[in-house]
Amino acid sequence: MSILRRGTRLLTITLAALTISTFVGAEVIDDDTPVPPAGTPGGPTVPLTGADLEQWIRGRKVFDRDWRLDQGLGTPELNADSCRSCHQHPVIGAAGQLDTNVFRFGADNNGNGPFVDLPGGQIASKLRRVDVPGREDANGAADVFEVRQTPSLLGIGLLETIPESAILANEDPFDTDGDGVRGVARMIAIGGAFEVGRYGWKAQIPTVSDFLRDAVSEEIGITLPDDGRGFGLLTDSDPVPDPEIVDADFDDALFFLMNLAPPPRAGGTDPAIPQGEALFSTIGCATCHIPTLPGAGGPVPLYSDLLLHDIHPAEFRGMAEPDAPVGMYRTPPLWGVRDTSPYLHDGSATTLEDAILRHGDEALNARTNYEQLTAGEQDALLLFLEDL
Amino acid sequence: MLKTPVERAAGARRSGFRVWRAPLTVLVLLGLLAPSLHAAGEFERGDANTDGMVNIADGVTALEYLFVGGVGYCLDAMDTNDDGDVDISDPISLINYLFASGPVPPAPFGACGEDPTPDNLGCSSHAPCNLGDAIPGLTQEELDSFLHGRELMSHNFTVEEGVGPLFNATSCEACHSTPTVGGSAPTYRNFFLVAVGQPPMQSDPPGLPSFVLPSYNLNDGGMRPAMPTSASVGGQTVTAAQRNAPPMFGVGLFEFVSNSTIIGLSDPNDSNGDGISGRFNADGFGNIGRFGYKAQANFIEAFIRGAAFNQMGITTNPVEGNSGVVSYKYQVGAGFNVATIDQDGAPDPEVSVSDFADIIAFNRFLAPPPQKEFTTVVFQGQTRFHSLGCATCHVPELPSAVGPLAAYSDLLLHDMGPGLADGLSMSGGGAQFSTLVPDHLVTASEFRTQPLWGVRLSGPWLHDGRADTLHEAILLHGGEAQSSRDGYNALTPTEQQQVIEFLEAL
Repeated sequence: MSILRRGTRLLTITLAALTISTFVGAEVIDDDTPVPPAGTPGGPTVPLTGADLEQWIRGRKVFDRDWRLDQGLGTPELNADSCRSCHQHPVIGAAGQLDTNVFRFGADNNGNGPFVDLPGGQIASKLRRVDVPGREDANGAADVFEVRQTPSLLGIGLLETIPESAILANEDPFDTDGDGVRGVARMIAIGGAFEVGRYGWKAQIPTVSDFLRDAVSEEIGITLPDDGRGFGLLTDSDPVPDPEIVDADFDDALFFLMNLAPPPRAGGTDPAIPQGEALFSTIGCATCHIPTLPGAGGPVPLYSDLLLHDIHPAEFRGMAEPDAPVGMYRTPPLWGVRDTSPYLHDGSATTLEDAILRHGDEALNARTNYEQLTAGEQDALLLFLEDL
Repeated sequence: MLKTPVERAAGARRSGFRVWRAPLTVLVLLGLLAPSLHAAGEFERGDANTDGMVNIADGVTALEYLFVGGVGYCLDAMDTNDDGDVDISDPISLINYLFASGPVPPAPFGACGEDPTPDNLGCSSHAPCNLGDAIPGLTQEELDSFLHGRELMSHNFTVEEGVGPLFNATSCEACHSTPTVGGSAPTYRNFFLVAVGQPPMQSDPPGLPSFVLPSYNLNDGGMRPAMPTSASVGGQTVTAAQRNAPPMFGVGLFEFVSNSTIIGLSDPNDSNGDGISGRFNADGFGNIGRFGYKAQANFIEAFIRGAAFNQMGITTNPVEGNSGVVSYKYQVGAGFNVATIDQDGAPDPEVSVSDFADIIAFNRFLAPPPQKEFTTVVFQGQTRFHSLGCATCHVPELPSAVGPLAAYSDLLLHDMGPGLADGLSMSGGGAQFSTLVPDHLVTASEFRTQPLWGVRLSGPWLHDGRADTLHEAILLHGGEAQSSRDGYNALTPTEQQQVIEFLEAL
C-alpha cells in the first residue's frame, strides 16, 4: 500500500496524540480514563452524575498529579511527588508496597525505655527536592526505628460517618470484661474539644480532610491554607510562595477520597468461606476486627473497631505518641485485605497467615485459638479473609 | 538458551530489521506512519512481521509461520481476512489486496487498533503499536523469553523471595513504569548515589556494596543506612547525588553498536576544535561502556544485574558468562563475572538463571518508542536542532549490527558544566581506566549523551529529574553544550517551540 494513503488515514490519530505534547511526569489518569463502576475498586461509592461526577473526576486527577518543583514539591523534604505515588496498589487510591514505606525514629534507651522524641521529630524523609543537596537523616542519637506501610484509602469516607459514640462504646481500657482485650480510642485535641482519631496507624487523625492535609504536607511537601485544625503545614522552606495548593484542588481531592468506594467482597461461593467467617468470630478475631460499625448511610463493613490495641510482645520497640504508647496501633480495617499485602504497620508479614501469627498480647488468645484450629479450619479462615 | 550476540545479529539480518536498515529519509516517513502511544494489545491487520508496514514481507512471514515454524508475533495481525483463524487464506487475501485490487483487510487496518471481532487469536508483540513490545526479527525462543521477561519485570519480590536486606524497590517496574513497563519513573522513585573520596579514586560508603544508598533495611531493627558525612568516613570527602530512573526502551540495542563505532565518534582532546570532546567509558578489560548515566556498564546483563542487586537486594548468577560479564564493581558490588550474594534468609541466587535470562531478553529486545508524525513544524525543529549543534552529541543515528539506531546519542561522555556536575567519577580508579585512553577518568561533570528517542515519554528529565519540561532540560545544559544551549535560548519562542516539537516527535 502506498505510504501516502496510509499516512492520510493516520493523520487524525496522530493529531489526537499531539494533544499530549506537554506530557510531563507519570500521571496515569487523563480525561479519557474510565470511571470504574460505583462500588468497585477505584470507583465512586455510589453512582455519581453531573457536577458530582465532574468533581470526583477532577479530584482523581489532583490525587494523580505529579507535583513539580515550581509547584512547591518538597518542604524541601518529601517522600512522594503525588498521592498516587504511594496509593496505587492494586488501584489508584489503594495501598502501597514495601518500597514506599515511610520512616520514623526516636530513642528508647536500647529498648529499656522510656521512649523519647529526639530533636527533629520522628520523621526522616526519603528524598529532598533535587535542587537541595543531601538527605534528612535520623538524629544521631536515634536507637529505635519504624517503617510504616501505606494504608489503603478505599472507603475511608465511610469511616467518617460512624458516630463517635459507636466507637467509644467498644472501649474497654481496663479489660473489665476480662477477655484480655482492652481497646481505647485515641482522643485528639482540636481547638478546645476532643475528637476521636480514626485514621493513621496510631489513629492520630480525626477526619479525611485532616488526613489529606497531613499527607499532602508531610509526604509531598505541599503547603495549605490554614483551616484552624492544626493538620498540615502552612509554610515551608522552598522558594515557592505558600500556600502551594489552591482551595479548589484540595476540595476536589477531598471529594474524591470521601466518595471512593470501599473494597467490595470478592464474593466467593466456596462453602468454606462462611465457615471461616464463623470461626473468625468464635476464636475472637472479631472482638477487635468488628465486622460492621453503624454509619450514617447504614452499616459500614470495615472489620475494625478503630480503637488502639497492643498486640506486640513486651520486647517490641517502636514509636510512641501522646496517648498512643509504644506498641499501640489502631485495628486496621480488613475490608479489601486480600489486595493489600504485605501486612502489619511495617509490612513485615507477607501473607495473611504470617500476619495472624504475629499477633500477641491483647490478641494472644485469638492467635492461640487460630493455632489450635485444624488445618481445614485454618484454611477456611484464610479463605474468608481472602474474600474480604 | 539465549544465543550469543553474534548469532542474534545474524538471525536478525536474516529475518528482517527492515526498519533499522532504512535510510534516514525513510525513517522520517515511517515516523508518519508510527502512531504515538496506544493501549497494549493493539495491532494493525496484515502487518504480520510487526515492522510497521503492510507489504509482501508480511505474506512471507505468514507462510513461514504456517509451513516452516516461523515466528507468530501477532496472530491477530496475521489473520488478514479476520476469519478468526490463521491459515493459507490469509497470505492469499493479503496478496490479493496488494497486487490484484482485492478487498481491503478488515479493521484495524491503516491504523493501530484492537480486534473488533472476538476470536481465539492473540497478539504477543506488535511494537509499532505498543510501547513495551519486542523488536521484530526475533526467533520464537527469543520472543517467548522476552514475553516471560516482561512479566517478571512486574513481579513484586517478597522478603521470602529475597528482597533486601538493603533495598530501594521491590520490583523492576517500580522504577521502570512510565508510561508502561520498561519506562522511567517520576522523581519519587529517585535514589541517592554516594561516593567517598576524591574523584577518580572514590569508593563505596562503608558497609554498602555500591554507590547506591538504600532507603530500606530489613536488618538492624529497620534502621536505614545513614547518609555518610565527612566525619563518619575519617574526614574524607563525601559526594551525594540523586538519580532518576532512565527509560529502557531500545536501550538494549546499544549492545549491537560496535566498540569501533563508539571509539570513532570520540574526540577526547577536541582535536577538531569544535569545543566538544566526547570520551568513552571503559572498564579496563576492553569493554566500552554504553549503559547508565555515566556509560558505566558494558553489557545489558551487567547493567541489570547491578540494578537487581543494588536496588532490590536480589542476587543473581552470571547468565552468559564472559560474553556478558558483570564487569563493573560499582554496578554489582562483587568482582568480575561472579555471583552476587547477600545476607538475608533467602538462598542465593534469588532469581534463577533461566528467569534472569528472560529479564535480560526483555531489556535486550525492547523496541525503541515509535516516532510521531513529522509535521512541518517538526521538520523546522529538526533543522534548528542540527544548526544549533545539538546533533554533534545527540547523533541522530548509530550504525549497529541490527541496522541504524535512531537513538540521538553518541554514547560518549561529555562535560556538562558545573551546574549539572554531580561530583561522581564512576570510574573505579584511574589505573583501571588507562587501558584505552590515557587520561580516561570519568570526571565529576561528565555524563553520557542521553538518547532522545521517546524523550517525550520520559519526563522529568536529566540525571536527577530536575527538569520538569524539555525546555528547562535544554536550558540546564552547560559545559560542552553551552553554545548550543545559548543558541537555543536566543531563539524566539516560536522557534524554540519548533525544537521542542521535534524532540516530542522522536
